[in-house]
Amino acid sequence: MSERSLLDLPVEILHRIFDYLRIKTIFCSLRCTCTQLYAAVQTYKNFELDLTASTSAVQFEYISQLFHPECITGLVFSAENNQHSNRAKSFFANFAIYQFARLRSIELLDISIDDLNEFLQCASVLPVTSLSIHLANPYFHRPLPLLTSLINQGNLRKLQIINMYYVLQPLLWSTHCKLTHLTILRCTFEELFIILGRCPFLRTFVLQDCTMYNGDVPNFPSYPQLTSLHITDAYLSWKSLRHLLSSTPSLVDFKVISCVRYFDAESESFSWEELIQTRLPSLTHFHFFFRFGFRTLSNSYTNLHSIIKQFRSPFWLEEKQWFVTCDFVLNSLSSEIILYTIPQPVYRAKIFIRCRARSTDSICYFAKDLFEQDENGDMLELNLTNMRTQSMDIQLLACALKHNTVMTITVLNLDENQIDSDGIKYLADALKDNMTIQILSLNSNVIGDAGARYLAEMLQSNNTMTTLRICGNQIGDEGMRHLSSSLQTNTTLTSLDISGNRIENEGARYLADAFKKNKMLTTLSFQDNYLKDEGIQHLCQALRKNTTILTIDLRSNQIVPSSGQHLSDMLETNTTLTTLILTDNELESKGIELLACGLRKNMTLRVLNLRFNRIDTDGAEHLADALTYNTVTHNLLSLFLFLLEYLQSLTALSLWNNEIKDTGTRCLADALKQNKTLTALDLGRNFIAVTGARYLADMLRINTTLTSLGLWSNEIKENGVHYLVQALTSNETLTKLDIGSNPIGDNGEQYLIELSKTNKILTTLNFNDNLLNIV
Amino acid sequence: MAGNKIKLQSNDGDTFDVDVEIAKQSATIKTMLEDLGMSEEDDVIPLPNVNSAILKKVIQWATHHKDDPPPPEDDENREKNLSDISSWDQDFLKVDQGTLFELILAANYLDIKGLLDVTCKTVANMIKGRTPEEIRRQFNIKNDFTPQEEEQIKKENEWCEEK
Repeated sequence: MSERSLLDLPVEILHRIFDYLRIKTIFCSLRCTCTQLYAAVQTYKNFELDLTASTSAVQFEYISQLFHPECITGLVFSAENNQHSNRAKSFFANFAIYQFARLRSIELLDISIDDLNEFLQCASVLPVTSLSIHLANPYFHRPLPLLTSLINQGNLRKLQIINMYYVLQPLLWSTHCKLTHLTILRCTFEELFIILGRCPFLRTFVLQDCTMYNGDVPNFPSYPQLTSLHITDAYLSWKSLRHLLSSTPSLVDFKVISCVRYFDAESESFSWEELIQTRLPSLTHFHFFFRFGFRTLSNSYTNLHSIIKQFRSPFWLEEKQWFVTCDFVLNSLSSEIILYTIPQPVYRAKIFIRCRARSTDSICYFAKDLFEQDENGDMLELNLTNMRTQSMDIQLLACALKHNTVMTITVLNLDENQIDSDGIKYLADALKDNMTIQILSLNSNVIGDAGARYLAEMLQSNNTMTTLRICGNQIGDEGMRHLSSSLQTNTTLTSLDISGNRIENEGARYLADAFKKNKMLTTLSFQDNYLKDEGIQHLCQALRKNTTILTIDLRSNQIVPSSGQHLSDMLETNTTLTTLILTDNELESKGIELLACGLRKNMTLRVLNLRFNRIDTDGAEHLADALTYNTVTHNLLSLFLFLLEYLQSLTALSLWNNEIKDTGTRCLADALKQNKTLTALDLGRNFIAVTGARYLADMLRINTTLTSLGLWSNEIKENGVHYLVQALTSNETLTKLDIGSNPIGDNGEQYLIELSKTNKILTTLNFNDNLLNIV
Repeated sequence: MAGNKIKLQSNDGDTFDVDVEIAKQSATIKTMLEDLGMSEEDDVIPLPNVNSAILKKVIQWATHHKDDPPPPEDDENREKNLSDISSWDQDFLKVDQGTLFELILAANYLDIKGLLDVTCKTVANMIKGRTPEEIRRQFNIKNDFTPQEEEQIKKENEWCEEK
């Protein structure tokens, strides 16, 4: 181990180290450590004076006294003009810039054109070789004769114009231009070649924005001077890139970030290796990031492996060691392919399917945007709804799913794509032993019977999925047969949505068979198929003894009146089903009459929806009848609501002796706020307490139809009465209120007595077991 | 001719066989070879200012960088960019301070511009943004100012005490 220390270095090496440091560090830190470094700083003659942080004229004056003008080789100045001070003015007042005899570089920030001209005047007589300009107004586009002459005649070698938009107009490039480094904001592809033609010594060219407007690229001569080219925001085709690179044979360092329109056959067959080997022998630094859109109507199969294949040769991996990655972006309306060696942020894209040239195992996998700070850690839902994902792309997704280690995906949503049975084949294969995805949604695709078969096979070995949604997929009885067969043995799926397919009674029979064995499925959505009477019969038969299904949705299935009998039989013996949706069928009153029989004996059903079934008064009476005798809980209230909303004829509803309680009361009260037919409501013996009374009170402020309200034998106390009484002072319809046999207390009685004095509409008021006749 | 080797001898007597092309990254050796004329294979170039441990490191560096393009000649506008040290160089320079300074002195003596640049940059990185006290601690430097001198320096530094 050596004992050498910093102080052993000769002063010229110390100065060399200083060259990499800012003036503040050299002057305020290094200089203050010890006498030797102090002395080294005193003899240093290469200060870059950075005045961006100095604000006042006093500071300028002080600094100007600290540094000898000839020790200053660089100047960084920010104008930042405001009303209070003109920094440029006070700079020129305090610094004798013409004495900066060794000034080599000037960097100007937020500079106005007038101040710029003043600095350019100085630059033209000083040995300035490097100039960097950041204008206060980037849209300036008058000629700058001083800058032009500086470029043409001066010593200038390096020019950076950070933000001037119209660079070609103010700068009349001449053939004598000696620039070796040039940075500009923007030029067209054609202008790029003009600049190269006029700058015979240009080695480094940095360009922010380069777009090719013209499809045709004429033949360009060779520009061997250029060794380094950076284009950070280009819109170029690979053809134009090939032209560019064919005319810059000395390129050592090339960086390009570009949108390349569409990925097509030409893109895929384009051989970078050949181009580089024949045209760019010196290229050692090649950084790129190419984005391709996809023509949405093309049948292009986004096979990352075939795209990346050419980058897997020894030329890339061993000789040059340029490691290319290919990403398929999953988050926009049109698919995108990104091919790169350096990652860049991709706006609005969070998930990628990625394939790397370095791994040759033909695996692609999910990746997250490197620039996205993911606060939730693992990704839970992968939502690819309406991505125009085609079956071919699913192959890619399936591969990524199979090799996924990045994200714990629990929900996979592929609704509204154009996935057909071929796509499902790949997907089902990837999901066979998947351990994370619980919900798979494939609504509105075109998987058909064949796709259903692949899914069925998947369900035989998958032990994780609990929910499968395959609405609107052209699945018929044959597909249902496969699915049903898997459901007989599957032990994880609890919810199946197969609505909007083409399943008829045959399919229902297979499903019914599955219900006899399946012990897991609790929710079945079977909307909008073609069950008809026979199909309903199969299902109902199976459900009579089934003890697993809790919810079944059979809306829009062309169910006819005679099916009411099957439903009734099922309801009579089933003890598990809590929700039955029969909306939009053709049960009619006759069907309801049949259904009501079973409903009377059923003790478990909570929700029964019969909207749009052409039920008339008779049907409503049957239902009301069934409800009155049925000791249903408050949960069956959806049925009452149905009655209230859709049966204009219903005027009296007795729900005597149920368990409606406060929550049920709330539903009823809400419904009655809109109802204009019901005149009498009996809610006697329903465990309604203060809260329920409050809901009713709220309803009474709005309802103008109800004339009789029965609340006999509930649990309404003083406060509840208070609510009701308050509401009734403004109600002008209710004539009869029975609130007898409630623990209303003395105060409650008092409220009611007061009410009877003011409200002249209310003619019959019963409380405290006493009928009080007011009139 | 490719594959030609020369022998480099450190000040502690070890000799190293090195490809001529690799050795020629040192402008000092290049000049010696040109001045002496292309020497025979058993000729030995003595390097009295470099010990064998350091010479070994230097040869390792030069071997890795043998295909680099020649560094730009314009020394004047040295970029204050400290972040462009390649990861290989960063690993290569994970050495104790003594070795780092020996490498700087060797690069300076042998006139290997690329190595001198990257080692100086590494030292600059150790100084960047530090206070005087931190720099003293980093490089084990003793504060040898008199109180009067220190007072004077402090006064001069007021301009950089920005708000």
